[in-house]
Amino acid sequence: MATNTDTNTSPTDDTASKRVVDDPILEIEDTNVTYSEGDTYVLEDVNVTIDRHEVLGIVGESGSGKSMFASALLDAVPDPGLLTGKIHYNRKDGSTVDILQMSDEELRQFRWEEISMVFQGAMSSFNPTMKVGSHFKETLRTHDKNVSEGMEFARELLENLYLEPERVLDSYPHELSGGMQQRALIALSMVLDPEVLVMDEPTAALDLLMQRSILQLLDNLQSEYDLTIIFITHDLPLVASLADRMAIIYAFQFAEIGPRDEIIGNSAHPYTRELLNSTPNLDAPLEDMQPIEGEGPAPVNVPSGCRYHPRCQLATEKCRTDDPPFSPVDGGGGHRSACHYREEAREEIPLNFGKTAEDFDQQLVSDPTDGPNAGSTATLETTSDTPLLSLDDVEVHFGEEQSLIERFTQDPTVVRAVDGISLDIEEQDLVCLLGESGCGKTTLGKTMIGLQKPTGGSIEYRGHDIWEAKAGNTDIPYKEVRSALQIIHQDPGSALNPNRRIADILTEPLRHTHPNIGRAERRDRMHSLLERVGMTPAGDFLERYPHQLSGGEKQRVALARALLMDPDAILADEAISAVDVSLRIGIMDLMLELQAEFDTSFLFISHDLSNARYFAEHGDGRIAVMYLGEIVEIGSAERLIHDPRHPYTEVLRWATPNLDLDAMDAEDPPIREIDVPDPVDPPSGCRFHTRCPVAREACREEQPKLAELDDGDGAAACFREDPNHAYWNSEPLDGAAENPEGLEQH
Amino acid sequence: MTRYTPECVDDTLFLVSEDDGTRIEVGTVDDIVDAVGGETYVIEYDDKQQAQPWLDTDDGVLEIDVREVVTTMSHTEEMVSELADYDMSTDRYGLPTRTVEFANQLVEILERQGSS
Repeated sequence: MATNTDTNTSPTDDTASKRVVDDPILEIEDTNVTYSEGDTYVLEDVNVTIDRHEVLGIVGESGSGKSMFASALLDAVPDPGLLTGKIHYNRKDGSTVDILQMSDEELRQFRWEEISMVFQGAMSSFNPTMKVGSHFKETLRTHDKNVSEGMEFARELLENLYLEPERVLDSYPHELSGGMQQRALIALSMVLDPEVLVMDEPTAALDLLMQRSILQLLDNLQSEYDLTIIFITHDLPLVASLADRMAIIYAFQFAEIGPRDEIIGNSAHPYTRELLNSTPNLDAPLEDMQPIEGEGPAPVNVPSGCRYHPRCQLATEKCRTDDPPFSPVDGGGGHRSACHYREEAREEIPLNFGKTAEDFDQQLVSDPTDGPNAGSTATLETTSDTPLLSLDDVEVHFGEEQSLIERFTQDPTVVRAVDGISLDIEEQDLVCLLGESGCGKTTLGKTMIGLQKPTGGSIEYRGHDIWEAKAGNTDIPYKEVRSALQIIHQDPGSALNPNRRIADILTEPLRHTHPNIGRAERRDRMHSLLERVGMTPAGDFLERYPHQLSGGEKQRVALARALLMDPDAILADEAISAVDVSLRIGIMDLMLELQAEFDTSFLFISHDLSNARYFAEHGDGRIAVMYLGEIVEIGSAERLIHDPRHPYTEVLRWATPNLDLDAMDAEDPPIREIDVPDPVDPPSGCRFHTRCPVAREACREEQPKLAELDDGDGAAACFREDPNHAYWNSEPLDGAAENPEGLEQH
Repeated sequence: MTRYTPECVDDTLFLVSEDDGTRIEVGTVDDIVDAVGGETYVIEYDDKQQAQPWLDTDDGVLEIDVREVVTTMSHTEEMVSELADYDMSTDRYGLPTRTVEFANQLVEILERQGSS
C-alpha cells in the first residue's frame, strides 16, 4: 500500500468532485478492498461521488481493479476480500444509508431493487433448464413483488430492448443469441425498477455492432427510466459515446476522472493520453498509434510512488518516490488527475486523433490506381502466378448429410455457413475477414487453411486441391500442406497445453519441421524466436508454464509456435480480442513485422473494423466484409472506411466507436433490425435486405453479385452500384429510407 | 425461427418442429442419459452468480435431472440441423452417433452456465 497520505484521500479532492455533482446518489469515501489480511490492495483509497441520473464510464485494463469497484458498490466483494470505508447511498426521499453497514437482509432487498448489476460473465448465470420468463417471475417473487404487474413491466422493457417479449419469455436461454441473452439480462436487472444500474463489461462478449446497438438502447433506457448508470469497461471509445463523465482506473486506484469531453479531449494524465493513443480506431493516422510498453502491475507488486511510473515516458525520480495526489486539474470543474506532470503530459503526449479527416481525405482524392493497394480489385482474380490459396465457389453447408429416409418432409434444414465464395490469397498477402458472429468468417477461415472440408467448390494450395492431397490423389504430400497453413486462436490460454512448459510447447513444431537438429540447436532457435517476439529473457520464459504468462505473452507464444512450422499462411482468429487494448497495437505490429520476415500470408478474422483497418492498412492488405455466409464487399481499408459501397459495411463503420468528440454522441443504429436473421433460413434476394436501411423491393427478389467497382478498388455486392438497375425504380421496404443517399451521411 | 420440442414414443426421443411437425429421431432416453454421464448433472455457480435473484440453488449448486431436461427442453433449428449430419445407425461407444452428438450438445448447453 502507498503510505503517502496525500493521495486519493486529499480533502480538497472531494470538494472538487462535488462541484459538478449536484445531486449525489452515491458517495464513496476512503474505500479499500484488501486480501491477505490487509496486505494486498485490489482497490485503494477510492473517493468518488456519483451524480443521480448520470452515466459514469469507468475504464481500466484487465486486473486494474475496476470489477472490484463494481462489486464494492453492492458490498459483494468475493471472499476472502475485505471491504472497508463508506459507501453512502442517497435515496430520492432524502434519506441516506451506508451500504457497508447494512444487515444481510437489508442488503438482499437493496441489491436489485435499488442498485442492480449486470456483471461480467452474467450470461453464465442463467438456469439453463428454466425459460427466460421464469427467470423474471422468480426475481419478482424473491423480492415479494406483484408478479403480474412485474411481468407487464418486463414485457415493456424487452420491447424497449428491441426484443419480441412473448418469444423471449417463452425461450430457454440457449435458444437466444448472445445479443438477445444480454438484452434479456439487462431487462432482468431492471425489472425491480432500480435507481442505479452497475454494468461490468456487459457487452464484452458480443460483436461490435451488437455492443454499439446495446449502448444506444441503454442510452434510451437511461432517459426513459431516469437511471444512474455506472458502466465499467476496458473499451474506452465504446463507453465514451454513452458517458457523461469518465474515470480511468490504473493499478487499483483512480488515475483520472472528469467530464467526458475533458477526459477524451484534454486529459491530464499520461496513462489516459497513452491509452487513447494506443486504442485502434478509425480516426487516427496509423503511424501515430502506439502501444504502451509493459503491463499493469499485479496487486502484490505495486510500484512505489506513482504506480504508472515504470511505463510512463515522462517519469522522473519524483514519480518513483512520491505518490501523486488525486487533485483538481485546472482549478477544478470536476476534473481530477493523479500526476505530478499534468501540463507536461498535455504538451509532451499529443493526442493522435486530432489530425483525423484531412489525412484521409488526401489519401482518398489521390488516384485509386496509385499506391500500395492498386490492383487489389484483382481480389477475385488470379495474378499471372499461381496464388498461394485459391477458393473457387466454396460452400460449407452444415446439415446436408442427412440420409434420404430421414430427410424432412419440407426443405432440409441446412445452415449455409459459407455460400459460394471465390477468393485468391497471394504469397505474403494479407486479408481480414470482417463480420458479426455467425456470418461464417471463422468457417471460411478454417476452410481456407484446410481445417474445414467444403461441401461445394474447391480450395487449392499452390494449385493443388487440399482435399485431394489429403486423399493422396496429388503430387504434394498432405503433411506439407498441413504444416504450411497454421492457426492462432482467439484464446491462447486454451490453445496452449497447461501442463507443458513453453520449451516443450515450442519443441513440438521444431521436431516436425527440423527433425534432424540436435537439442542445443533446437533450444537456440526457440531462444532467438522468443526474443524476436518480445519475450525476454527468453531462457526464463522457456521454463515457464502457460498459467505463468499474461494474455499478451500467451498470444506471443502461440505466434512463435505457428512460425516455427515455417508456414506460408497463418489464420489469426480474433487473435487480439483477448489482449488488453494498450497491447493490441503491439501484437499487431509484431504480426506485421514477422509476416515480412517470415514471408507468410496472414488471414486475420475480426468483428472490429478498427483492428482490421490497422492490420490491412499497415500490411497493404484487403478487408473482406462477410454477411450470412457471403462476401458482400472487399477492398482496401482506406476505401472501405471512407467510401463504403455496401450498406452493411457502412453499418459496421457506424458500429466502430471513434474518438472524435464532434461525432461521438451516437445516433440510432442505421439498421432496421438489430438481430441477425436465422442462418438456417436466410432472407431471399440480398440477405441483408431485412436490416438494410436503404433496401427496396428489388433487394427482396434478386440476389446481387459481388462485382468489381469501376471507380475504386475491390468489389461490392449491391444493386446501388448499377445506375440502371431496377432497384432505383422499386419501392423502399417498410422502414427503409426514401432517399438512399441519406445513408452516406452517417 | 422454428423451435423443436421433445416428444417421447416408447422411450425413444424425437425432436418435433412446432411449425410443420417434421421430426428427427434422437435415440432412447436411456441411451441419452448414459451418454450425458448419468441421471444427474451438476452446475456450480460462483458467489456472484448465485447472488442473482432468479437462481434458487443450494450453496450455488444446481442439480439437474437429466431425464427431465431431455424430455422437456426445446431446441433450435440450428442444433437440429447439426444433429441431422449424424447417423442413427452408426455405433459410437456402443451408441448411435446422433444420440452421442445430442448428448454432447446438451452438455454444452448446460456447461455454458455456472463457473467454469
